[in-house]
Amino acid sequence: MHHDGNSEHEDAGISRREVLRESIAAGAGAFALGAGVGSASASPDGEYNVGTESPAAEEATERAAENVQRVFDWGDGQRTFTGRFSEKAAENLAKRPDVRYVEENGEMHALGQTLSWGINRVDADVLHDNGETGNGADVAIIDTGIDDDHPDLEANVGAGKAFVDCKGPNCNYSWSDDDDHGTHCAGIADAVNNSEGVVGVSMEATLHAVKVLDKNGSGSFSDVAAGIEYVADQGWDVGSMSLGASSGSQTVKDACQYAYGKGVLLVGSAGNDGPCSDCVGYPAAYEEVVAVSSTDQDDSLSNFSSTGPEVELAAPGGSIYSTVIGGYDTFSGTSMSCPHVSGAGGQLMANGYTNTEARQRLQDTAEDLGLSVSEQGAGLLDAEAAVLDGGSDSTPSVSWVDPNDGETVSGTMTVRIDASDSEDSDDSLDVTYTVDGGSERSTSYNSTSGYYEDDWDTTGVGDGDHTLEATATDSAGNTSRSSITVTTDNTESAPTVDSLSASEVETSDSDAEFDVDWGVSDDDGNLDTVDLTLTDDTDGETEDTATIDVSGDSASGTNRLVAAGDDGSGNDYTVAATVTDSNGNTGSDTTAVSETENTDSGPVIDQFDLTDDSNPAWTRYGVDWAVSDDDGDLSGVTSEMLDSSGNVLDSDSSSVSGSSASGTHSVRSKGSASDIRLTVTDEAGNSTSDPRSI
Amino acid sequence: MSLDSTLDITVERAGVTFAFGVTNPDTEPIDLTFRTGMVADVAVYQDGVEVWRWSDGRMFTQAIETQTLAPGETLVFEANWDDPTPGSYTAEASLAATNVTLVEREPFETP
Repeated sequence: MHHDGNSEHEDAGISRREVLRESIAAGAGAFALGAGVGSASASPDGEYNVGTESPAAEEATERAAENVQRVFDWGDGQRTFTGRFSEKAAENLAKRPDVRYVEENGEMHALGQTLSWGINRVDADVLHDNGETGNGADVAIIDTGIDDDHPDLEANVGAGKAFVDCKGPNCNYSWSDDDDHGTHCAGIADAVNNSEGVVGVSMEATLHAVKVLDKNGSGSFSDVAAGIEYVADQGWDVGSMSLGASSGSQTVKDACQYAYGKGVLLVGSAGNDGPCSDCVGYPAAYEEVVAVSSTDQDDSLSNFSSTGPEVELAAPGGSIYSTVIGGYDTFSGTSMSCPHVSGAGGQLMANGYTNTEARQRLQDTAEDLGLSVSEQGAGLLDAEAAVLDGGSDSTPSVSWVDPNDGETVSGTMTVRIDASDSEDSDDSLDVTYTVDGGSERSTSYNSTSGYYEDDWDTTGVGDGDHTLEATATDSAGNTSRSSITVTTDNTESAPTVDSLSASEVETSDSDAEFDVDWGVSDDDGNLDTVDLTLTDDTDGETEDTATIDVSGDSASGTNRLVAAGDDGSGNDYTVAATVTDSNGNTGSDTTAVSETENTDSGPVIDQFDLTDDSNPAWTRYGVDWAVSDDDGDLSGVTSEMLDSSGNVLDSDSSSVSGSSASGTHSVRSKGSASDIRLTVTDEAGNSTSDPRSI
Repeated sequence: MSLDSTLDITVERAGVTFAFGVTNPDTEPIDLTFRTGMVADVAVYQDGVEVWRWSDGRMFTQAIETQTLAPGETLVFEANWDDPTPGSYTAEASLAATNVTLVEREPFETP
């Protein structure tokens, strides 16, 4: 461990290392074979906790703070201010006798466990809240080792194996960490959920240290391959490889193939050569390995992240706070993104996924960040979605065929539900449905229709809206549901007006008259009445109505409706027909009709005088007549002698024309005559008669 | 920024040891940033052809690392080349920092 960075900035009162680490060998100088140095930036920059014990110190603290985020009041004049301070201000406050302490925030165990942005971003905390802890998974950190007695890891650390021995004072085991890197990765994947430090993506998986990298973070292909082989032979679930080289190794590839075939989920860092394209390092670039690129807190690709077609997932890797030997630190790299995926993969494996299923699942549930495929692969790791949203077996689909949402139904109907599943055959699903959340009703698959069907007697529920929910369950126990709302209407059917027409009746009086032909029917045969209404469209006035009693399941008729005094108006009318059944259900229809003006005036009798020329043998009358016609199309005049039964005994006719005419007729009969009738007609067929008794 | 460097080569029967020293001659500290666990590399050339490279066949941690070199501080990178073929060579040591380029070359012979 050579954490010699920034030593000149560490003043006595505010050194986080003084708080967290017993001894840090700072700046010794020698770094044999490349010193393993993490980027040693402190967790939230510039945040301090300042403990005061006087009002003057409180004032000085508030004055010195760039902002104050929280104030604790411990009583007895003792307070603690959490806020942002410049380093200088923090140093100055630390020198005051009435300031009890100044410490960097986010580093103190006393302030509880920190949720790193990466864990939060992949929603691993949601998993924990749902009891998904990775318990039962074996996650191998193929790296520089693990700080076996780190308080945030110790409970999870299981067996280890060293292919390169740990060197230095921290080596409780040959596989203990002598760099920081492996411990950092282990904490990301699986730090213990406790009152201090950090929590991992998993928090109860078993961590296995497979030490293949030396204290400077470097290891041979052969040692890396041996570590991978060892993981496979132990039957562990996940091999997390936060390591890489820009060139490949057949030995390492063989080891990856071996382990993958043995069911190990292999996860690797895409590499830190970014910005670059098609530059994924090895072993991540091997097809057996899930290559993980790195994102920053703003969901952008980390500038150092390698990209390429092998990238399968993205995960948080920029400025990740996690465990290091004896403490905590913030590192950046695809080394950090890799164990996020490893931790999530471990949870899937613990839940029964195979390595290939877990790999697919991680891809299927990844969150699209909108980055290119070579940058994000399938997207950002979504641990919550991967572990919580159903199993590896896809859920069936289910939808309603009959009835449809919003449909009105009555009587007994055949319910049809369409259900399918990508794993199970479409006729093998368990499909049920409920009405208004009631007891489940079963269905049976109809191989002809291809639907799950059941007969549903809709009269079993009251008329109105009802919710039908179909549930399809596949053999893996995955279920899908689909709900619709239907309206049941089991009242008897309403009658209908099947036909309606109206025609004008030509009249010689001043009324507009119409004959209305109507036909009605009712499925349930309880017709009651038909109401007809004649309305003048011009003034909206109801001119006439008629009510006809009807019965049975159909009826028809013709009724005359009269608009008194409207003859010749040329008005438009609406005829409305309403049919009502004995339950008050109605049907109606309307039709339009016009009165066409009658321009032909009828002829008029101006004179009709009788002269009795009868003798004992004959009844004989002379008729003096005069007729006229306003429109001048007189046609004929006829005098007729009628008996009491209306039979014509004799007649005398004259052809006439023009607008007026006059003449005489003579009619006679030996029979018993009772009336003489004079009739004048015009060319339009209008006629006027006048009968007179004799 | 400027850094001083040295390359000491020790030839023994079993192999060659390269010691690449990097010193901060300035009065201010210098931050060196590395992409991976590899902070330096050594390559050996014979007649202009690369015959050996320390990083070949090695994998490294994939975390960004920053190392601060205090004024006057020297970091030493050591690499071993086992079982070299006798001959005349040139060693080339290079710092792998992203923010500074530093290369040191020395000829040597193996018996």
